[in-house]
Amino acid sequence: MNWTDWITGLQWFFVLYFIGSNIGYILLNLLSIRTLRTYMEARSLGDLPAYSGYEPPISILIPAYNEEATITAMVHSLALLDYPEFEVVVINDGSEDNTLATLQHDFSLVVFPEAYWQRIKGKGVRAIYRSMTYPNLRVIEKEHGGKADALNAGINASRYPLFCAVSADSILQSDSLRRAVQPFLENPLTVASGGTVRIANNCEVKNGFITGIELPKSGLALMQIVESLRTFLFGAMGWSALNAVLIISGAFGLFRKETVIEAGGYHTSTSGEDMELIVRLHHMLRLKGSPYHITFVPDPIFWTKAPENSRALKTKRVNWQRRLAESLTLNMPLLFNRKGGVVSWLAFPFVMVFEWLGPMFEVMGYIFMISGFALGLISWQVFSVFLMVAIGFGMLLSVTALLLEELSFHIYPKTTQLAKLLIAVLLENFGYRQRVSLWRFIGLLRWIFNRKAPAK
Amino acid sequence: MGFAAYSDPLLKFMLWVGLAIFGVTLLLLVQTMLLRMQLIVRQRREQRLAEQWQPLFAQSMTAVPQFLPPIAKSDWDAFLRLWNHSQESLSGESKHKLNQLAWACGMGHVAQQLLEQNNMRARLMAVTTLGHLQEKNAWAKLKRITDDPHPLLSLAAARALMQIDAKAALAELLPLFTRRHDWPLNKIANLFNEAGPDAVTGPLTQAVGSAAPEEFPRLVRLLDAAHSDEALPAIRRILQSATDDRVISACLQALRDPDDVGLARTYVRHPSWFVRVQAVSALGRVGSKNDRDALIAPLSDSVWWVRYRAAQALAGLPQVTLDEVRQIRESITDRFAQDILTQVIAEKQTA
Repeated sequence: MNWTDWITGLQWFFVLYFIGSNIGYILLNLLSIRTLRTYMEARSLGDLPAYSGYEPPISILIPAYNEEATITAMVHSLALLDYPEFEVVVINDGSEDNTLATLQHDFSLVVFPEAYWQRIKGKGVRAIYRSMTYPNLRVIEKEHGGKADALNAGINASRYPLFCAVSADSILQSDSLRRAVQPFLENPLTVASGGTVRIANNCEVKNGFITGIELPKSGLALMQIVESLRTFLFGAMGWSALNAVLIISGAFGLFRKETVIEAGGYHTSTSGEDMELIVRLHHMLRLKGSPYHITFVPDPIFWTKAPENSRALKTKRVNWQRRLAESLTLNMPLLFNRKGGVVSWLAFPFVMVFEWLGPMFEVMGYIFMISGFALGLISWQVFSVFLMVAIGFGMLLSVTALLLEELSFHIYPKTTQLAKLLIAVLLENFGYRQRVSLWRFIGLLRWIFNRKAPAK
Repeated sequence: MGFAAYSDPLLKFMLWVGLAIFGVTLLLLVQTMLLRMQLIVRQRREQRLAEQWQPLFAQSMTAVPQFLPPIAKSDWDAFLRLWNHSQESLSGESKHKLNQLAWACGMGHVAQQLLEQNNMRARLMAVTTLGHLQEKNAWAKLKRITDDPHPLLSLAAARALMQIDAKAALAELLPLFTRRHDWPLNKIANLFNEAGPDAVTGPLTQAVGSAAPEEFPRLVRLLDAAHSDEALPAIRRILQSATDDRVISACLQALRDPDDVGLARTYVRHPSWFVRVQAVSALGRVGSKNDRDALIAPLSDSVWWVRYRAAQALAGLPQVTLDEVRQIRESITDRFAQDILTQVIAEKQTA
């Protein structure tokens, strides 16, 4: 083989890789359209009474590390959740600021002699506090051990059969728990559920809840709306139909406690403890042959502030890629495992090739094609076809995600908002997606060369 | 080079693929905009419909208005949704008045027509409407739909049958209630609450007599959901002969009568921890001061939940004061038992 054969081979590899990955996403998309239609039909007829007192009580766990600025508002908003029975457990993970003092002051905390049951091992618990003003609020004061360790302490202290892990900076909806618990009510085999994250920038927030929905002013945050629609509405929704969701956001996830404890709780040596737990639950239950469901709820469950500058977004994407790499590699025996079913043979390889290693192929594809074209090694016809396929498919996928949104929740009610989003779905393919791929590629490289992840 | 010009067949094909992608993208963009326009038109129409009909719904609470505006076929769905939501918020005579209005508008026949459609939403709407209308003529069709594999549709049909004739429906649906595990218990409990304990308890109790052992746990939970004292004798009978841990646990959960204290005591040392948890909890509910000693041993159980429920039960026994619980704590040597009692004492003090 001479060098021209190599170049021909490579250019074909990259063109076909782009086509293959996008066809995969389109198939996922078709699956999610079907699932979403059934879901929306059921949801639109919410005539049967929702409550009967049979909803299982839920322990809401909030790991807090240096959260003195936000923790009070967060706990106040949880008190207003529309759900029959729940407790709130804040785990102060050895904060160096005044998180504990703020909680003590704002919620009249008193030390409580609780018989702490350490079912999952972790760093030492110094004290357990109970609020004199909010009877369902407890605070665990512990040595610093990271988010995963804090969540494990919360699981140990929780009273109820389901727990909901929530980030201290998330904004929930009053019906978040009610929506997220539905899969548990409808299918007793459900072990975890997660929901769609929405972007809260520029939205009106009152008493900790979103009261007015607006699009962000920042172009970067606007692009992240399109990105999140793609990730959640057809990514997670499609995999959910196959019971193969591998990613549930760490900002909000509802879990069956006993199953998580059986799996050993959150992994403390990875920064991607939320993703890793989901993959490990699949791993454990598939290999045991236990029937189970991990379900994605398409409703907007919680809102979060998106980074509005490139630096913060880069950090987020770099970390995300590391976390994905860690969660997959820690569960590598699941790949092509004969007991693993659709998770082992479809979802895991798909995520591995197109999400984990995908940024590498994408960035190298762009570099190869652009440099090859610049050096005259690749014809302009091939180059233009490559761009058409890479950008065209990207646009198609983003438009489809917006179409799904329009078919289902139409969160953004104004026509001007829709017009802006339509422009965003087209523009994000010119620069934004490529930049995100580059950052994720950097994340992959950092993981390979084992650079320390930023402290969480 | 592998290919250099658009005359290359493969490259030509790829070019067409690229162009097709852009074409489809453009079409989807247009569809998204059309959907939004459709939504706006639909919302406006629904708002007009609501403004027109809500006063008529209110009026019909006293007497159905003589002149009712015709409802266009395109408004059937919106009208029925509005009407069904109003029905859900009403009770007693008001529901019948609203039914008269629906009949006067011909919605009974419309619902029957919708029932024949393939569209899931239309069928769901029809089933819900026929249930509210208590349309006996739809009984056979609704009964068939209870076998539909879709849990939402089949359960809605079950509810409609219960609304039409609770006793007759229960006789037909009981096997489905126990067999269809895709029907959530809380939804079935709703149906029982709507029908009332009188309609439910008898048939459920009878069903227990002829149930297969694997149906017991769910039947016991259904009996518990019926909130009826008449269910208790059946639960006792099951418990006395039960060998399955899940059945025992479900029965213990339902015990409410002090006469059952003996039954609860029997299971305090059961090998399964989830049976022990229910046994000590039941003892807390139905026990007396005499059960004090029976609850001390579980305070040292290997499972936290058994210890915790035993401590709660002990502290909640009639005539057992907090001082006595403190004395018990001082008298025992097991650290786990002491810790759990300390916690429960503090909980009682702060409650």
